[in-house]
Amino acid sequence: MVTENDSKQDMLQTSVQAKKYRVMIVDDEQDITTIFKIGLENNEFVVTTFNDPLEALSQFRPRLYDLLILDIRMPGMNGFQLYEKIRDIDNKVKVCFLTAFDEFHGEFKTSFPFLEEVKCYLKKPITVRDLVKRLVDLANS
Amino acid sequence: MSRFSWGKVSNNRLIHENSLGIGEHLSKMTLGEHNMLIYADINSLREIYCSHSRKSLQSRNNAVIILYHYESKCSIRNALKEFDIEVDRYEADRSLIIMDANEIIFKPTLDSFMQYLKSLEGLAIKYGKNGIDVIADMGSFRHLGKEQELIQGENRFNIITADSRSSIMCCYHVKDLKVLDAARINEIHKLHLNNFIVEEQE
Repeated sequence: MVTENDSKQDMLQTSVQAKKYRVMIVDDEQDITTIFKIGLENNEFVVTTFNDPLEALSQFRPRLYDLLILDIRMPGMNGFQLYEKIRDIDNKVKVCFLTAFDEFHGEFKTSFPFLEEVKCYLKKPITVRDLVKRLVDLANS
Repeated sequence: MSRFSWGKVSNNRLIHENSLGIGEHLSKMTLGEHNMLIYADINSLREIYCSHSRKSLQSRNNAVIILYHYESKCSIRNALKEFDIEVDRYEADRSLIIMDANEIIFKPTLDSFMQYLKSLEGLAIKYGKNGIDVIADMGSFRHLGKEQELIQGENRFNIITADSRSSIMCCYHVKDLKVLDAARINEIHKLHLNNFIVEEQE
């Protein structure tokens, strides 16, 4: 059984682990980026958000971020296309894709072969606690 | 929305209005029309599909099919309920169908989707409806890398609506249009009777 103490310990542990991670979040929904930013900053992440994938790409620099959270369906450029461009700039940055849908990633693997290596998909809605845990796991993978 | 060059489209087919004004235009829309709506933010789109759906379901006795791309089924249902639309009742009697465009327009083929629309139209009429109003977010074309099939799809929509009791409103996010070349944008415009462009609210 998980007690309240265990949860607090777990949160504390997660916060300590997360301390140094710099995250870029790209989602066309401003509510989502705002909520994630607040939640992650409360857990010691350093967060930069964008609501436009093209602007995110233009601002992206190598070694500026440890982790990316990219929405999949965005107007103008989807999350897979954005990550493909970002990989050309920094192929070390780790990615988590975010979606509210039951996406069939398999059908995108022909166009985006790098998806074979991507293990992190987050389904909206997600709690901050789960988000932090998934990001820490990803960073440590 | 910043003014975007619409190329050689004749002005009488371009209608710049806010969501309220476009709602007024859509209330006069008749079955058999194939129109285009260009939006820059999801809230404007939401207002338009909600008021259009309410009129279709409650006043015009049409069935409504909403094919979404940037929203989820849950958020669409909630938005419709806020517009006093009895979503559960209309879904139960199949007057209202809400589906992910990605999962239907090309699954398995564009042809199968056209057949599906025809069969839904037949069913709607059988159950006493006047016809079907389809509201389709076309973001799935770009998302699925089907830009080449886009013109073909729009052409097919033109053919299918011309002699039918269905109307189709193709909704494009302005950023999805801007990634297309000018010739293709012009072609898309020409394939629609009216091109509604949602002006940003002050």
